Amino acid sequence: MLSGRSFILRKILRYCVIILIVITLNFLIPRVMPGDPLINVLGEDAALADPALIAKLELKYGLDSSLWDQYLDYIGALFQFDLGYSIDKSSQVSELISENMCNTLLLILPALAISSAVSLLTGSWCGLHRGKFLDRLMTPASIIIYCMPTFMLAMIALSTFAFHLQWFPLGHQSSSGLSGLKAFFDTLYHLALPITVLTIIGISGKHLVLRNSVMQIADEDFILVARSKGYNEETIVKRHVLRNVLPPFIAMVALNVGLLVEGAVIIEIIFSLNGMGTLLYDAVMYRDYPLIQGCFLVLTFTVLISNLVADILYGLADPRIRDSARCSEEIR
Amino acid sequence: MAVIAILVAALLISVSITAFYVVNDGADENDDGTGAVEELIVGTTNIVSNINIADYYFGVMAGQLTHQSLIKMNSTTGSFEGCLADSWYTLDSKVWVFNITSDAEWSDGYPVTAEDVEFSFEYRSEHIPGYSTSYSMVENVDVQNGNQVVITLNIVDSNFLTTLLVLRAIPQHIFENVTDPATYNDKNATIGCGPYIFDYFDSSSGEVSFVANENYRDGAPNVGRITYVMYKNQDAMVMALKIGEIDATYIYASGISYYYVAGLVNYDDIEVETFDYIGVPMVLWFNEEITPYNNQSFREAVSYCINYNEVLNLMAAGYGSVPNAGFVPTGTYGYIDTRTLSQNLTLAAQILDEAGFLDVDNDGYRENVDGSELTIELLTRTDLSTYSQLAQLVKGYMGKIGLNVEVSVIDRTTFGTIMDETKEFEMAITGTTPWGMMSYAGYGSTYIDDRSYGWTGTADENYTNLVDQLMAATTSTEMLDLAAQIQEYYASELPVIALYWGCIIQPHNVDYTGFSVDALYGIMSYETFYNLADSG
Repeated sequence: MLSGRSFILRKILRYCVIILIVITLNFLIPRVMPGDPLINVLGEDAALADPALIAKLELKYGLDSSLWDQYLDYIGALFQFDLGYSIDKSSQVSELISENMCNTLLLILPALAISSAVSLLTGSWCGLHRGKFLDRLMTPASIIIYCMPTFMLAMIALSTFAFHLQWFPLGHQSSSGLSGLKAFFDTLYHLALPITVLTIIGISGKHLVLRNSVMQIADEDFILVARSKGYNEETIVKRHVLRNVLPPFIAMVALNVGLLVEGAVIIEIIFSLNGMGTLLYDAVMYRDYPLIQGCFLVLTFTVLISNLVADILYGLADPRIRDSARCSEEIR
Repeated sequence: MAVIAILVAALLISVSITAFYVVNDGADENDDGTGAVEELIVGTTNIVSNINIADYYFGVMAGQLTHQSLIKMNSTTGSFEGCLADSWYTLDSKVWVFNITSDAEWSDGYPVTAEDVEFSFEYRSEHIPGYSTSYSMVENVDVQNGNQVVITLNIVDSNFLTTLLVLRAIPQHIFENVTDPATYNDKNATIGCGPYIFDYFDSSSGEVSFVANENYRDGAPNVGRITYVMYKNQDAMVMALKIGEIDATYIYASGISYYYVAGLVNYDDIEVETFDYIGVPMVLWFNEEITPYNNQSFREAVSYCINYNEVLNLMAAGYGSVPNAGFVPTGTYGYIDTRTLSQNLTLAAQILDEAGFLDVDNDGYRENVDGSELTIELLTRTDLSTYSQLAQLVKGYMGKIGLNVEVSVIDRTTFGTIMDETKEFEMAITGTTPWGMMSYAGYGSTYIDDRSYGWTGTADENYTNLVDQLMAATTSTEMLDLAAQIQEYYASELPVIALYWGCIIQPHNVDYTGFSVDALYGIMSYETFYNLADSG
């Protein structure tokens, strides 16, 4: 019989294979895209560039060798934790990513935490109390927000709260020249609106899924049996409803990590913030191969780690999942 | 649950209110009541990544404020004036001699020398990829008599002074030991000799700030500090202008979109100015290396099928003008009137008929002269939505005269690769920049002459001879005569068709008067810094 440790080890092994595939795709996809990264390095005069200059730049950025050699160099560098040098931004990719990842985490972690907590509560409550005031308010509102493009919601928020009411700044992460407590509150003040927008978007999707899951579970026979046994509502919700609802919810939160980073590009543009979204967008636009590879690699790791954590949490949330994994291993 | 939601909302609001008061308790006014401008805050969508000399938009700001060339352009007259050079001369437009001024200083107190200028050419050409290409005509730079810089070109180039406008001299004593300027983000990298000194760059607040150089040789400018605030979208920038967070907007070689004008004119404290744009915002390009785009009749027919008034109204809300066949926009030195472009579908169809482009198989679309199928690929880029909208419009116009067009929309880098490297396109839509129109022999020649960017691949001797003569012109009379001839060539041969001529829409706060506009940097001109005053 497999122990919990081997269950986790098997998961880790599977993720290692996925990472290798992702690394290879990260390398290949930018290179099969049309467009020459040196076009942007040379600027307006690219058409007149001397072939010797182009050869020099190709050598500098490692674009002169065969695709296979470039791939081997890339893999070799990864083993030394070297993500390369950005063609467009003239910086180490790792420095650019760490700088921008911090900004993105400041934005998405609070949004993820608040939206998960709020949607868990509202989704469960509305699923159990269909047709009540909060359900009639939250569910249509969630559908409207979920269907609304991110840029539209962000622009409405910016226009209403930053421009017309002037409660919040029109963008940026902080003011210049502040330190200590002032800097802390200033950052909070600047990020409150974009975080709120991301949180509202996060709540809308998760609330709907959770509400529908709870509704389905609440109609199941085993809930009826629990009620007939005389359990009180709190016990039924905690032991039977939430246990069944949590695995898909955890999966959704895990997937949300990647989607939030991706979705943050719109928020970053509208609120003039720096972060992984715009870094990746620029990298793709300028065909900055090392930066594209680095960003995708880090995003892949982020999503894989959150999925790994989710996989582990499934087992904790619902022991049947862990047991079924053990059984299938035994059969094999 | 409702209680929790209300609590979260209350928490956010209370944090914001607390933060607002904590952050704004030191807000001050920007008026010292003397007419001088203490600080000009300029919103921009040009994003600076770092403060090294290889950063494109920091370079633009440096060119306006901290770094100088041998000459500069007077924003009022459009003529060249001495800057780091007191005077200059050339006998043959090939060897240029500049006498370096004796009173120019770097902002760290060192004098600007002829050796610094020589070093700037060599260093930038060696380390900044685009520079070596822009200055590929420079064969040699020497210092003579202590204060003279002698620049020898490998071609005759009467337009060399225009090319010199974007040289930004750098101090040798700072950069001689810097091997990779693209990673040199030290404050020393910003040392220049212009009327301003770099103060700080803060990517979190999106600010780049410069203070007046009190020791500048022409005296300190009237604007004490210039701070650029970077926005990643025009909407937020225009909102900031409306609520007075910024004093003006600025986008290099462009203005704000016409879309915002209607909203801005309702604000009493904002003035919206328009001025001639010497680039062409939207141009239809033909690849003359391919049939039938090398056929003048085909191009002429296309020129008659487009509804230019509709294009102007739909793409720019009328901010601009219907172009002439001569391509070069009004406001350009040496502009002449040529045929105003207009739609005449009957004439367009007649020209195609006479040239042999007939609908042989009666499918509603014309075939090539040799009877083969003619499907035209019209290439455009995704980074401006108006380009793809315009491409669809042009497809419709060409369809009216029986030309089958397929629109292909690609991203900017792929578009650049095709136009600059592979040249594998048939027709394309994109704009030209003011700098592009001025460079090479001027009058848009760099885009057309096959020996330069050559997007149209024009190798017609009639044209290349005109360009050569323009490069070799030694008097302004000769230059104006050749400028007229080149515009007449465009009007008759139509290697390109301007779809409309634009204007730059420049809003600013009415609190200040005295904005001057120069061809290269718009309102961020040398004259603005000295003439801008608080209107009280």
